[in-house]
Amino acid sequence: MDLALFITLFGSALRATTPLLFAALGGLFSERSGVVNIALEGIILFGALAAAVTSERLEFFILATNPDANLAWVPWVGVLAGLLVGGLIGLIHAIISIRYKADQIISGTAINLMAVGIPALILTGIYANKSSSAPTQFRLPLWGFGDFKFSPLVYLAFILVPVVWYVVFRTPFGLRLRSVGEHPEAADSVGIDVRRMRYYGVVLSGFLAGLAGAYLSVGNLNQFISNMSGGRGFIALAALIFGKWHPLGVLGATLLFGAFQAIETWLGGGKLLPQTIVQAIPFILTMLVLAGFIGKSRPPKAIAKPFEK
Amino acid sequence: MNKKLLVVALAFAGLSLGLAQDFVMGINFDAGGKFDKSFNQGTWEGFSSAIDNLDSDIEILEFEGSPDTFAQGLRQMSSDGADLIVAPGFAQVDIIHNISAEFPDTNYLSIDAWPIDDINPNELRVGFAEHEGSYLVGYLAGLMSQTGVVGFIGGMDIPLIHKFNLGYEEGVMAACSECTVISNYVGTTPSAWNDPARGKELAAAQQAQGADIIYAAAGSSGLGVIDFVTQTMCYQSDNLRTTPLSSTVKVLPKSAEYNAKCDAGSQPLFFIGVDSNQNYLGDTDDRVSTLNHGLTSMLKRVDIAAANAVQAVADGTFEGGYQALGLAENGVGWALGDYNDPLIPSSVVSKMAAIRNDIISGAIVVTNYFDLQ
Repeated sequence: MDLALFITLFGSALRATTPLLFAALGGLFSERSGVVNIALEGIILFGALAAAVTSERLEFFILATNPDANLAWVPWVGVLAGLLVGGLIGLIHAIISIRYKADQIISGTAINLMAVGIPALILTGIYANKSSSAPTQFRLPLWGFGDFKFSPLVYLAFILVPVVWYVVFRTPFGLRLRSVGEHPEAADSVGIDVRRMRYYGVVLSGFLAGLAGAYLSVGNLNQFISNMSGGRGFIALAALIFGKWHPLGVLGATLLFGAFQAIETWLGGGKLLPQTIVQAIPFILTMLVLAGFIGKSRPPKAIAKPFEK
Repeated sequence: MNKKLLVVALAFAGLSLGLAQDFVMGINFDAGGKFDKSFNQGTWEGFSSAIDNLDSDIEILEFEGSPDTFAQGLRQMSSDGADLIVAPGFAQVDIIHNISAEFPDTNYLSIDAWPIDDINPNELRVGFAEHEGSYLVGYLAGLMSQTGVVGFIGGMDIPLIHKFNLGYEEGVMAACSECTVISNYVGTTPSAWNDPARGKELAAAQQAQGADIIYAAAGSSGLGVIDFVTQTMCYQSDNLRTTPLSSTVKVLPKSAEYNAKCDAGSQPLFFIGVDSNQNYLGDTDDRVSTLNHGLTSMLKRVDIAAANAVQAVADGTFEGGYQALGLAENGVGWALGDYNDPLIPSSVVSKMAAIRNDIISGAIVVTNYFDLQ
């Protein structure tokens, strides 16, 4: 393998890691607070849709009045829209599973199903087709030097790892978040508002999964394409388990998954090793971790259990 | 009262369907919808323009379905008395086969179908010789590639896409025996059609291995390939072949963005589109006259298939069976137009015409991947 290919594959692995890392860190907040968030996949799609449509519509209307406008700021607004819509969908999941104590898996699945249907509806309304938004002209900048140039969101994802670690393990907020996920009755007895902490956890996970979506649509490409998440929300959940619900573990797991994508590319269309096998390896590892063969991965104790006062 | 209304309504419906029109023709869109800039839209354009060209009063029925609702739409239109129903997409082919037996008075056109033994007399199945079209665009890539390395990016790893891949490889090798073709597939599940991020990474890796022309047969994932090419725009290499592209590219004006990004020694990257003419997607500055990054597109003329069926029903000559549309029937081809005309000198255009004729006459035989199995 020559140097140019290695550099490209290295960058490729980091770019593949980015949306997984956002979503898995999001999932960490939610699951640490005791709420399973299988809706990550759907939230990614909603975030991607919001980011792309907001950017494209803004561009469209401003360029209609002033064709020479410099709209370099527009994709940033798109990213913000992806973040907020992600948080909103997270809030829906939170209300259903915390306030109404519905089964969290079913609520998440419902959101994932909506994320297939609703974008088609919105795209039909705006672009008269069900599969894609119009591409935007202005993109997020690429930061870096030489061959190492990445979207700002790539840097943000990696910076978030120590930030999340600090918040979860070194602040009172993090202590409360973990306590309501481990033993909500004990947390309640010392005056922690269990439901409020869980709302925070789930909405934060929505924000981060929304960012993952924004990265896919406007951070890396320049349009929304239906189902463009391609299972990344579920892979992020696997990475969360593999990473033992710890930010550094999540970083390692998502990097491993990203690296395997690059390796799959390098092995080139199944000429050396069948693509399916390479694709499966990270998940086989995840199962081995779950089964306790490689260390023990223990979920928060109160996960998926609604809190009854 | 309600019953009476219903009877009146039904009577009107019967009148409007039975008497007012010469024909009723329906179209059942595949997933993606009517204006998908590709398959469905191409079928719709052929279908609707053929109807406009006819001198008869035709009622058009439309249904935008998904794999779950195809049968529903097809049954509805059939029981509404449609004379012809056009159905693009391989996902509908088996359903059409069953429904055409139920409604013998309606004619059906399945686009992207394959031959079977017991075709119904009112069921026309049309397939395309994608390997022949891919051979042609591969031949062009082989002639033009300055690095001697070209790429192929398929969507889901299924035999149909290997048919594209193999034809393309044979075409490249025929034009340039010392060239290399790098092939990658986006994935092994249906989500491989909708993963542009992965398509983009594969394109980046192929470029890092020297590919300067990349053919994407990957549905919406192909948009990621196109995005890579139009965003990266150019590459540097010390080891270039001299091809017809070397001279056409040199004299073409470039976009401001290209000049800012790429210095004098760099060469432009190109993609090859698929199904419909995607050449326009290579235009980065909305100016046709500057260098565009779409070298050509492998055309699948679904519009011709739809138009022929409309005409046949209007003439009363519709017959069931299987038709393979290849180069000879203009069912597949390569796209040449305003966007890529300046890239391709006339000597290459006539060379391509000669190759096309050789395939039609049988002097060149392109391997069909399905025949290997």
